[in-house]
Amino acid sequence: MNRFIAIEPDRCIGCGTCSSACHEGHERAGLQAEPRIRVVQMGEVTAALTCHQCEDAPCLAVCPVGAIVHEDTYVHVLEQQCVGCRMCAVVCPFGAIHPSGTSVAGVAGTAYDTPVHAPTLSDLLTWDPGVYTCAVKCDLCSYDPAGPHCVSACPTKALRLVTEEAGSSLADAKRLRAADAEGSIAGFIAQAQAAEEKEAGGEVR
Amino acid sequence: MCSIPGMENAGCVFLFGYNPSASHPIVARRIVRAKEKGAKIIVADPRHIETARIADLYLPIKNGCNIAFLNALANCIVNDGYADKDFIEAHTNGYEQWWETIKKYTPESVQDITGISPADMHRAAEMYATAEPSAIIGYGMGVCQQRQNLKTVHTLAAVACVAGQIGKPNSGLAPVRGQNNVQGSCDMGCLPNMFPGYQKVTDPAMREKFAKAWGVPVEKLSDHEGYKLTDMVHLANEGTLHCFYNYGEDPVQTEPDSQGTIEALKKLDLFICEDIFMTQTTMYADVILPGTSWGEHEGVFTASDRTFQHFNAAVPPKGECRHDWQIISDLSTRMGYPMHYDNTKQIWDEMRQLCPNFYGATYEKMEGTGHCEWPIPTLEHQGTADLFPGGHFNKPDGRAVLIAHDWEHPTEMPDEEYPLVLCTVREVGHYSCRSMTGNCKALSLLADEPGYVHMNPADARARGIRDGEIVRIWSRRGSVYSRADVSDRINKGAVYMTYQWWIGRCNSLTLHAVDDVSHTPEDKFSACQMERVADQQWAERHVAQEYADLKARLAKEASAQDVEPAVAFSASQEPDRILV
Repeated sequence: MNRFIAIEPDRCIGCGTCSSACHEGHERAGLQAEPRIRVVQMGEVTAALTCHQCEDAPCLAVCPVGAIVHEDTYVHVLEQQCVGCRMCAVVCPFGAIHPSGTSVAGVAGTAYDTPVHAPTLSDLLTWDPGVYTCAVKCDLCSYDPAGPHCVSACPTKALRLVTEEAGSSLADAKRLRAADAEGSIAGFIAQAQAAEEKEAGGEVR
Repeated sequence: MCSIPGMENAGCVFLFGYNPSASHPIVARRIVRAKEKGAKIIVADPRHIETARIADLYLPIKNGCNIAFLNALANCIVNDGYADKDFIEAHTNGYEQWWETIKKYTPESVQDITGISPADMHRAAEMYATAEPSAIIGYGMGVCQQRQNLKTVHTLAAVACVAGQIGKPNSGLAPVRGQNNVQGSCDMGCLPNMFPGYQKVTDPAMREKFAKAWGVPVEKLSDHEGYKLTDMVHLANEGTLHCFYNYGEDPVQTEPDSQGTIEALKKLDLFICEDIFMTQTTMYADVILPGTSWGEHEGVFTASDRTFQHFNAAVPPKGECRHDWQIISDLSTRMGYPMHYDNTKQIWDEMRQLCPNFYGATYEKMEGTGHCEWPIPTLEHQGTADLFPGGHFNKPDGRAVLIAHDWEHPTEMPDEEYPLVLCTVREVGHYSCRSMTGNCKALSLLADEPGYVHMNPADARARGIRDGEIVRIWSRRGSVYSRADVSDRINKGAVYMTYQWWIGRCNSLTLHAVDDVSHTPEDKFSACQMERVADQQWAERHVAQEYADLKARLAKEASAQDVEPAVAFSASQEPDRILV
């Protein structure tokens, strides 16, 4: 089973600390600095969204150059191998993979960004002269044995890493609760029978 | 008047004009925990803020209705039989007179002003007044930055008294501050009418005490109240104020009507700034004194809930930078009053001797992660989490005074020409005037210039504005460009901007109107209009260029300090010699 990051939306306060931690970690690891987790706010819902690490990952299936691979328990983008064709971003059902490049702003004489497109343009269509893009998506901070930085950074513990062990213990807990619910039903029936007996004048044991 | 950790243990948390997720995520976390522990959450805010999502009752109030809303809430508490008659009888004065005003404010009579249905108002009254074991009202700048701000605080305090939700653990009011150490600067006497420890300058006994401690004749200490920051502009304009010493502030960015502020600064004979970066304010300074940054100094902060916390320096000051207390000591010495301290502890201990309420807050108690919540009058005292225990208030007879006020409309109401309400708010991520966090790349990735103007989809549609586009917003004071953030969490007819953006600077638009007593500006309400910029590509380049130009101007101003590397090196070795 793949590992993935799960979120409890009622705990999310929309602070964006997950995105900052994601940026910081990847930049230090020498990878694209773009955050791979985004806070989405709409009406009644606030949630951090990121890659689901699909078992049958469409991004991996469409990649023409084999730059997306299934490592042990997650789906990984090889940034050096990616050609920036954006096919993966098109097929991702969650909008969790997108192109990103390192801007030349601030480098050798270029002091600031000179935008050549409106920000309302889909990030699948944007391009900046001289900027080579590659796909970025959540890699569960595989460069760090301590695990995903967003999970440890979240101030309200709204994020958690679901692993095979945690997943099966969760399933175990659910089965136990289901069994217990049946127990409650049995208890309820017994109670109802006792009440009926009492009403009929029988003795309550 | 409770502690912030205590918010988790209340039966009800009522947020009024306060958005903790944006201004204090750490408090927002406490509220999430309170909810998980079973507390009822009530949110009254024009916007559907983060906490409104987990609220048991969300009240979408109209902008500028505060006193009308609270009076109607108080009216419901009394008329629905939730008033705590024993508490009112035993611990308050002035109920009859208070009720004379409040009885007029039925929820029906003010529904047009508040936008809240009578049914919801009755529910809120019940949920708040009947909460067990206690209820807390958390309020922030949505109360303080309004025309009737002090009056709103009177009204809030009366609501808590009448409902009996004060004077017991984890109850009462939880006023939060707009910045991390506003409470501390007030505690230490950075107020025009107070010595440290809230001891009035108009009180001869206090002047006597401080004059004796500081070894000066009592006539040397001013016997009247000084001016407030928001008075600076008109005092400079009328020529009463000649010199302004500005301390780690960027009033051009953070005070209302930026253009008015700039013109006033230019009129001063002498303008001194103490800061760590060149800002839009320090640009106009005659003298800039280099202070130390948050990582370089140590001292004591006070949190919103009166908690003193000691913090340590991570690195020593660089170059010519010196601690604020060293600069003040040197300045004082050169102006004829020799002042010398070896460290902050000496200053703190002197202050403790002079402030009875802080006397027990020693550095020893604050060691490590220790903290002290004042009042802490003796060395054995462990601090006070909740004020007014047992309903004993700090009045001569120990009783609270209930005060009611009539609602007045905000100063500048929307009209045909300026149909939108502009309300200034906070965003999570960047801090205050952004002079510090604007230099942080991780935070710039989350949000960057020209900033955002948050609006309802209907207001956006009516002007052909799409999410993410650049818009122009203007008022009677000025005009700026910003980026549209269209969301159904925003109420119709109002737009929200954050005062931290340099290009989309909302204070170029805000009205300089202040409360009569506190002189706090009415940042939450001015009238404006906006439109979509037709050529979006031009607009994108324009705002990027403006930002780059501004940064270049700041860098040019700052370049005056550039010196030969050899001189800079010797300066870093022997900072004292260079400064003398």
